[in-house]
Amino acid sequence: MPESKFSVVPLIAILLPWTTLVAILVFPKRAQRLRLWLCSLGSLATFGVVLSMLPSVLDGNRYTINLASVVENLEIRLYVDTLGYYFALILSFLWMLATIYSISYIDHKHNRFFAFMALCESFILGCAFSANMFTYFIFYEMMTFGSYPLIIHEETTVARRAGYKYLVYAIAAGTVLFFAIVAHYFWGDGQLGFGKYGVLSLETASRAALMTVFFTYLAGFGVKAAIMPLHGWVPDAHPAAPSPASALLSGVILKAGAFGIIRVCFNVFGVDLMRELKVNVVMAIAACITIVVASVFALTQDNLKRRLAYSSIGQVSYIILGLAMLAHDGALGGVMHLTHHALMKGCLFLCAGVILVKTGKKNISEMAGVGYQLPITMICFSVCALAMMGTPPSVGFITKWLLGSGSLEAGLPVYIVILLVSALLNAAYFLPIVYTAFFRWEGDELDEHGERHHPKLVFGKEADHKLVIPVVVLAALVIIVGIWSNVPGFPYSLVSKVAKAIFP
Amino acid sequence: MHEEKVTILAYSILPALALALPLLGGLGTLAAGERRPRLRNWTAVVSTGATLVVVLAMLSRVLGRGPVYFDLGFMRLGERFSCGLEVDSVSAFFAFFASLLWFAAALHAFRYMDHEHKRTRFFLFMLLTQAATLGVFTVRDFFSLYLFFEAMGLLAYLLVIHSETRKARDAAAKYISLTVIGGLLLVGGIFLYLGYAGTVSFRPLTGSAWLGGPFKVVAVVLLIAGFGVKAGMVPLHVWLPDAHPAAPSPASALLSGVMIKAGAYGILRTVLSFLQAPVSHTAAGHAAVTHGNEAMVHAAGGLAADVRMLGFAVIWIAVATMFTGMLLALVQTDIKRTLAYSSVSQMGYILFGIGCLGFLGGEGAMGMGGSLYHIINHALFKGCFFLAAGSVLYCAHELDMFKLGGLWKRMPLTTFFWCISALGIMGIPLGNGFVSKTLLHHAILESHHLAEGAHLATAGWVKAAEVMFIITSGGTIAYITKMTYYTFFRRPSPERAHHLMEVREAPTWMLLGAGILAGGVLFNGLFPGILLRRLIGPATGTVPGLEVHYVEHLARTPIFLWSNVKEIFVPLAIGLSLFFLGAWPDILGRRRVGPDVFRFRLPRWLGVDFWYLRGARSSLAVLWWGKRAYAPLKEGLVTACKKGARAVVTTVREVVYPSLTSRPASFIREAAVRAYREASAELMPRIREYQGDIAVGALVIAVSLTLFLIMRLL
Repeated sequence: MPESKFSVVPLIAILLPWTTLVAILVFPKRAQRLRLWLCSLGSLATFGVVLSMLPSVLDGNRYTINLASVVENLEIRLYVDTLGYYFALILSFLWMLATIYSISYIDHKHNRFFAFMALCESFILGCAFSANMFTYFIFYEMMTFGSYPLIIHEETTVARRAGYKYLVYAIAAGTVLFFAIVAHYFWGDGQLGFGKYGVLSLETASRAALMTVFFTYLAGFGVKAAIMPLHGWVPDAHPAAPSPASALLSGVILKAGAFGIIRVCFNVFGVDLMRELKVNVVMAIAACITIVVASVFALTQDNLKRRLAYSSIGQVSYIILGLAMLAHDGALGGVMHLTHHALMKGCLFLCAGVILVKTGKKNISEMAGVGYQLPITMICFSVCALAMMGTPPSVGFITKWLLGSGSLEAGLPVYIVILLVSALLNAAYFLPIVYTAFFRWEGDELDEHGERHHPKLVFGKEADHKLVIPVVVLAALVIIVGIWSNVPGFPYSLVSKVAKAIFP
Repeated sequence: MHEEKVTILAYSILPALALALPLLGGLGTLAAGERRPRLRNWTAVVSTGATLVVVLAMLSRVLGRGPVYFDLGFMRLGERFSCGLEVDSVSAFFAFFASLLWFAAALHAFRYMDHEHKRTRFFLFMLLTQAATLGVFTVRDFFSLYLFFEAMGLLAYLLVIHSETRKARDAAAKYISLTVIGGLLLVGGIFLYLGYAGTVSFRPLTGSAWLGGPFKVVAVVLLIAGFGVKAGMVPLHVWLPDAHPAAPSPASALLSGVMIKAGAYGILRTVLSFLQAPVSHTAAGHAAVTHGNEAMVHAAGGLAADVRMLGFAVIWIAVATMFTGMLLALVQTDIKRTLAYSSVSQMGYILFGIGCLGFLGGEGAMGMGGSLYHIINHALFKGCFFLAAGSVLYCAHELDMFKLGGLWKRMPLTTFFWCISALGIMGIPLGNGFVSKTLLHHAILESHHLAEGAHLATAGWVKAAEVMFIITSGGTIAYITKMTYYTFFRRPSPERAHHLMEVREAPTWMLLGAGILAGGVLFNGLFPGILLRRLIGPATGTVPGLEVHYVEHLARTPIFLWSNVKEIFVPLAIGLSLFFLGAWPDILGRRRVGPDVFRFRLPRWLGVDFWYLRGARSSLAVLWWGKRAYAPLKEGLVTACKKGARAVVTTVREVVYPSLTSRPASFIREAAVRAYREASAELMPRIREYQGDIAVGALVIAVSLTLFLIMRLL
C-alpha cells in the first residue's frame, strides 16, 4: 500500500448518513417535514464531506483509517485512493439528488424508506472507501440487505416477488463471493489489500488457481453488475422499486458490482497478470454478448422502466468491456462510464418517475403527448436518450469514443462493431420514446386537412420542484461533463490519473 | 521535403464568433417568442446577417494571411483528442456560402412562416442548425467534425418534421433513421482512420499506425458512406426526396443548398486526407532514393495507385448519383420533389469533381476547383429555386406543376429569379452552371488523358463517365425546362385559370431572399475569372498535396471560349428533344398520342428504398421472433430446473427416508428419542433455572473457540 495519512474524514463520510436515523428517531411524527429535510440535509452533508477531500485527492494524498483488526492481515480498513474517491463522489452526488427527489415522490412509510436509503449510502460509501477485499465484502453484503426494503417499498405482489428474486440472486452471489475471497486469501498469501499494480502473482499460485479466483470473483460481482446470464433480477427489481430507488439501483448499486470487478482487475490481479492469464477474453465475450442481447431485449419492452432496466444491463457491460480491452483508452472509457451511466440513467429513471407521478403512465405506448404535459422533464429525457446513443457533445459520446479508441489500441477493431451495433439499437429503443412524447398526441391523425388541435405547451407548471430540479441538474451535467470532462472533479480529471498509473 | 507546405496558424476569435452568433440569435428568438413575432423574425435576420459579415471577415483574413485557429476546449481527452476550430481557405469558402444562404433563407422565412405553425421552434432550430453547420465547415479534425456533423443532422430533424403532417412524419422517420445509421458508419470510419493514420487530424501521420492495409479500404468506404448519406449519394439518397419537400421552403433551401454540402465537404476532406499521405510518402521517398531504400518508394507508388482507385470509385458513384437523380427528377409532378431529386443529381456533379481530384492525385486541381465552383453554384441556384417554390406555394397554394401555369404574368419577379436559376443549372453560358460544368468537363478530360497516357485499364470507363456526364446534363435541361414551362409559362387549364388569376406577387421579404441568390447566380456566371483567381484558386492552392502548377492552371482557365461553349449543344439537343417528347401536346394544344414521358412510373421494387424498408422490417422481425423463440427456451430451462429439484425431493422422500426408517435405522432412532426424552425430563428444570448463565457461558466458549481456531488455522 502506498504512503498514506491517517484521517477520520472517510469515517465521517460513512457515518454522516446515520444522522438521518437520529433525525427520524429524535423528532416527533408531527415534524414530518422537518424530518425529511434533515434526511436530505444528511445526504447533502455527506456529499459535502466527500467533496471536501477532492483537492487533496487530486494532489495525490491518500487517507486511511483502520477500524478493526480481526486478525493479522484481516482488517477492516478504510482507504481513499483516486479510484475509490471517484466512485464515492458520483454515488454521494446521485444519492443526494435522489434523496431530494424522494421527499416529494415517496407517499407512504417515509421513515423506512429514508432510513434505508441512508443506511445503503453509508454501506456503499464503505465499499468505495474500503482498503481490501474483506472490507469491501462486508460493506457489499450489508448494502445488499440494506437495499432490499427499497425494492419492495411499494409492497405490491410484484414488488415482493421482485424483492424475493433479488434476495435469492444476491445471497447466492454473496456466497460465491465469499468463496472467492477465501480462495484469494488462500492462494494469494494472505494479501487481501488493493495493490497499485495488483497483489496476486504467478509466484504464489498456479495458473489454474488464479483463474479460479478470477472467475469466482467475476461470477460473484457479475450478479450485481448484471452480466448475462446473471442479470435475472434486474428487469424485475427496477420497475418494481420506486423511481428514486430504481435510479440508485441502476446508477449506483449495479455499479458497486462493476466497481468490484474494476478493483479485481486493477488492484487484485493487475493488468499484466490478466494479460498473462488471458482472462480478459472471457470478460470481453461476456460483455459483448450482454451489450447486444440486452439491447435487443430492451427493444421489445413496452414498460418504460423495464426498457430502461434492460438498457442498464447493456450499459454496465460497457464498463466490463472497457476493462477487458486492457488498453489505456479502454480502461479510461470503461471506468469513466461508471459516472456517465449514473448521470444518464439516473436522469432517465427520475424522468420516468415524474411521468408516473404526473400522468400515471407506465407504458411507452400510452405516452403520446407527454412532451406537452411535461416539457422540461421530457427535454431532459431526450437529452439523456441522445446521450445514451453516444451523440456528441455528451457523456455517452465520450464513452463511445474512448472505448473505440481503446479497441484500436488493443488491436481489435471488432469491438467497434459491437459499440456501433449497440448504439444503433440504443437509438432504436430510445428515439421512439422521444418521438411519441413530442410528436404524437391524441387525435393527431385526424387533422390532415382540417383544423389542428394542438396540445398547449406550458412551461414551469409540470411538477413539484423537488422532482424537477434533480432531473434538470442531471441532464445539464450530462452535457456539461460531456463538454468539459477535464474540470477538476469531473471524471476525466480523476480517471486519467488512474489509467495513466496503470498503463504508463 | 514538405516544409514549404507547413503553414503557421494564427489565433483568431472570428471562427468562434461565427459559431456563437447564431446560437445567440437562437436564444434571442426563443426569448422573443410568439409574443413579439416581429422582433423574433428580425432577430433571425440580424443574427444571420451578422454571421455573414463575420464569415466574410474571416474569409478575407484567411485568404490574405493564411489559416486561423480557435481552441474551443471542448471534450479535451488527453493530448490526442480535443475539439477545436481551424479555418483554412476551403473551410472559409464553405462557411461563406453557408452563411450567405442562411441569410437569404432568413429573409424569406420572415414572411413565409406566416402560414405555418410553431414559428419560434422553426427559427430557433434554423439558427441552431446554422451554428452546427458552420461548425462542420470550420473544425480542424474528424473528431470535431463528427461532433458538429451529428449535431447538425439531429437538429435538422426538427426542420424536416416541422409541419407534423403524416407525410412530414414519415419523411422525418426515414431521415432520422438514415442520419443515425450514417452517423454510426461515420464514427466507425473515423475510428478506422484513426487506426490507419494514427491521428484524427485531416493530415495523416505516417508510421504511427495501429492498423494495416485492409482497414484503410474499410475506413474509406465507411467514411464515404457516412458522409454520403448526408450528401444524398446513390444508393443512400432515399431520405432526401422525402425530407426536402416535407420541410418548409426556407428549410428546404438550406437542406438542399447547404446541409447536403456538409456531406460533400466530408467526402472532400476524406479524399484530401488520403491524398496527402502520398505527399509525405513522396517526401520520404525522395529521401529514401538518396539513401537507396527501394521499399519506401514502392510504398509511395502503391499509395498513389490506391488514391487513384478511390477516385475512380467516387467518379462512378457520382455518375450513378447524377444519372439516377436526373431520371427521377424527370418524372415528378411536385415542384419541390423535382428540386429534391435535382439536388441528388447535382450532388453527383460535385462528387464527380472530387472523384476526378482523387483520380488525378496531385494533378487534380481542376477537379477540386470544379467541385468547389459547383458547390457554391448549386447552393445559389438551388436555394433560389426552393425559395421561389416557397413563394409559389405561399401565393398560389399549390406545388403540383401540372395544376399551375401562366404565373409569369402574376409573379413576374419570382419568374425572373427562377429563370436566372434555370439558366444556371442548365449550364447555359452566362449562367453560373456553365462555368462549373466546363471545369468539371475539363477535369474528366484530363483524367481520361492521364488514364490513356498511363495505359490504365480504366481509361475506357473514364470515357464512359464523360459520356454519362453529357447525357445527364441533357436530362437536367429537360426537367428544368419542363418545370419552368408548366409552372410559369403554360396557359393554365380553364378550371384552374380563375384561381390562378387571383395570385399576387410574393411579399418583398421573399423576393429579397430569392433576389440575393439570383444575383449571386448571375455574378458567378458573368465573372468567373474573379472567383477563380480570388477564391477557388487560393482555396485549392492551400491544400497540401496538390501541385502548384495545376492550381495556377485552374486559376487562369479561360471560360468563355468557343471550344467550351460548343460543348453545350449536345446536351441542349438531348434536353430539348426530351422536353418536347413529353410536352408536345401541351405546347401544340393537341391530344396526346403515345406514352407520357413525364408521368412514367417504374415499379417500386426497382428502387433501393423498397429494399431498405424490407430489410429493416425483416431484421426487426428477426429480433422479435428471436425473442419469441427465447421465451420457450427460458421456460424450458426453468421447468427443467424445477423438475430436477422435484426429482431430488422425490428421491429423498421415496428412497432415502424409507431406507432410514426401515428396521435397524428406526430402532436406533427410537432409542435416541427415548434417551432424549428421559434426559430432558431430568435436565429441563435445571436448565430453566440457569438458562441465562448457560447461554452466556456457551457464547464465551464458542467465541473463544472460534478465535482460537482462526488463529491456529491462519
